[in-house]
Amino acid sequence: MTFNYEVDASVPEMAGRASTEFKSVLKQLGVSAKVIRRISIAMYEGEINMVIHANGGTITCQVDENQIEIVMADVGPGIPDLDLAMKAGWSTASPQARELGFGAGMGMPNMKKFSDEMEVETQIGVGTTLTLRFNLAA
Amino acid sequence: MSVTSVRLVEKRCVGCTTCIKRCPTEAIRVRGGKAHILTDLCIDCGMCMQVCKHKAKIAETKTLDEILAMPYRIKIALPPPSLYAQFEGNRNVNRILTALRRIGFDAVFGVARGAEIITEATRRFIAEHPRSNEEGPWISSACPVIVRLIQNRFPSLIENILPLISPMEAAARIAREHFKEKGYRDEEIGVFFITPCPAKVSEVAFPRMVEKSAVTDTVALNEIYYKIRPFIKSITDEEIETLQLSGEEGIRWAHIGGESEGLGLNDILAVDGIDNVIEVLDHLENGLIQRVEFVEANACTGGCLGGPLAVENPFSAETRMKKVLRHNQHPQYNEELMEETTNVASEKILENEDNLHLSSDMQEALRMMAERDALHKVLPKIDCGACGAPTCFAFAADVVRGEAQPEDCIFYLRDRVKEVAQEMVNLSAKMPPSIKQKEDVQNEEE
Repeated sequence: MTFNYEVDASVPEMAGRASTEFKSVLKQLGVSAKVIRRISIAMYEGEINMVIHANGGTITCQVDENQIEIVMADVGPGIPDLDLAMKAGWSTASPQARELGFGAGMGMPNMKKFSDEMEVETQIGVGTTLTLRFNLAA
Repeated sequence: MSVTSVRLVEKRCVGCTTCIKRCPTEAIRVRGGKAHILTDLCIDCGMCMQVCKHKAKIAETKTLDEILAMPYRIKIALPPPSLYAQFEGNRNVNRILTALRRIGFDAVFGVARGAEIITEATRRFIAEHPRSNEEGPWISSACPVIVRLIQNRFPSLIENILPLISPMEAAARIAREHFKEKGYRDEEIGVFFITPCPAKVSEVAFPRMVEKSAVTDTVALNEIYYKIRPFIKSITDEEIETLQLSGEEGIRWAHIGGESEGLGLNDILAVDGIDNVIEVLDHLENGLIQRVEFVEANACTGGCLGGPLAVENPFSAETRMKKVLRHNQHPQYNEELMEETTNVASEKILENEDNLHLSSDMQEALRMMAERDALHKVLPKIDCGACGAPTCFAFAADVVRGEAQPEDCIFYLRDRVKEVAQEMVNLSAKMPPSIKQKEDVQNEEE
């Protein structure tokens, strides 16, 4: 079964809504609490990144008995140095923003850490597609 | 354990949609003109009691008369600190406790003392068991609604619940022990909690943190309020007994933030009101709440002061609470009882009681979800409640579970009637070939 979400960056109060809705779906499907927690954290990071950096995009969640695949696609600026973005602590946030608690540089590393598989396709000026996979088989 | 202490008074219920709409877990359906509680989903928060205009929802407590008729040799009242903020013009806790003795209790033991003991135990426990950012903060176990909400809806947070018993339970144990030492046998002692909410009633009957509650039964705070009110006025200063066991640290547990205040932690999060709590738990689950050591969550607005069985609204009660707290920085204590203490570790492992899944088989759950969403598409989505479910979405899920028929929706029914009527019109136009005219055949062919 597939679940599609639009991430609309022009409506800030909607940020995080896709993650919350999908989490509710997972609970209704009886996915284990631990897996739900990992998915929620990773998907939320991705969704917020789309709002902050890419002016929104689409999220497609594919659920079957063994695996959950989440594809987050945007037509944003792309990630200039992927290796750097994957490093813990690296962030594009300004020092002021960091003082406010934003941009701890854990977004990408956390997504990798909490998912079982992660793929990133990115092209400058074209956009980024991030795929997260979570295994359900116990 | 699916048990709830909220009861419907059938003759008062008019079958309106007020409570089904406000229930935070969508646990009420109107059936046969009455609001029925789905006990599997109910978390005992008492929201339906608060919003019902006809007072058709009550908490299943004992009455004072029933308690006084019980054959215990000694009957001990356990007043919660929220009781202290109910009386206009009175800041003297000993006056209220004395009044409780006047209405028939042999002894009183303020739950605020239990709260002080739990405060101290929490302080020690958190110092010995610090949590990493990834594990998330400790969550108070004091509000039974929240414990149940987490078991039902946020099972990934069960391990964050502080494994300590409630102040009520601690107080009941100490009171019991105290009178056992004085020569009473355990079965001769009756301990009665004056409850501000239905959740505490369930906590006594079916405890989640202990094997068996030390509390015998409960009585509603609003009943006790009207019984002791005349005595609060009539007791003279000389008649006031020194029964108080706790100061502001215990008393302030009655309002939101009071529990955390005594912990000496830098980073606490205190949240009240069931919808706000749900939002905070959702954020905790998403890892959005960082660098917080302790979460105090109360289902009721204002904390226990806002309990469904409290008399005063939580905001006026809060004003009085502040006066009571100022007055009780150095109160007159009953020293003898204050020395008692007890083991407050939780005795049970909290189970995952997740009740959101459509089916325990995922393939089946996926099928049901697809069916539900397909039905939801053709429903009006105005959440009118005429079908007895709180929303079109909840109704669609009820249908898929086999608990409702699509035709229970009056809009869906109207569409079906229209289809059938159209079918009848079409059928009525059909004629046997023996009387069919030439133009009829032409019309049919077109």
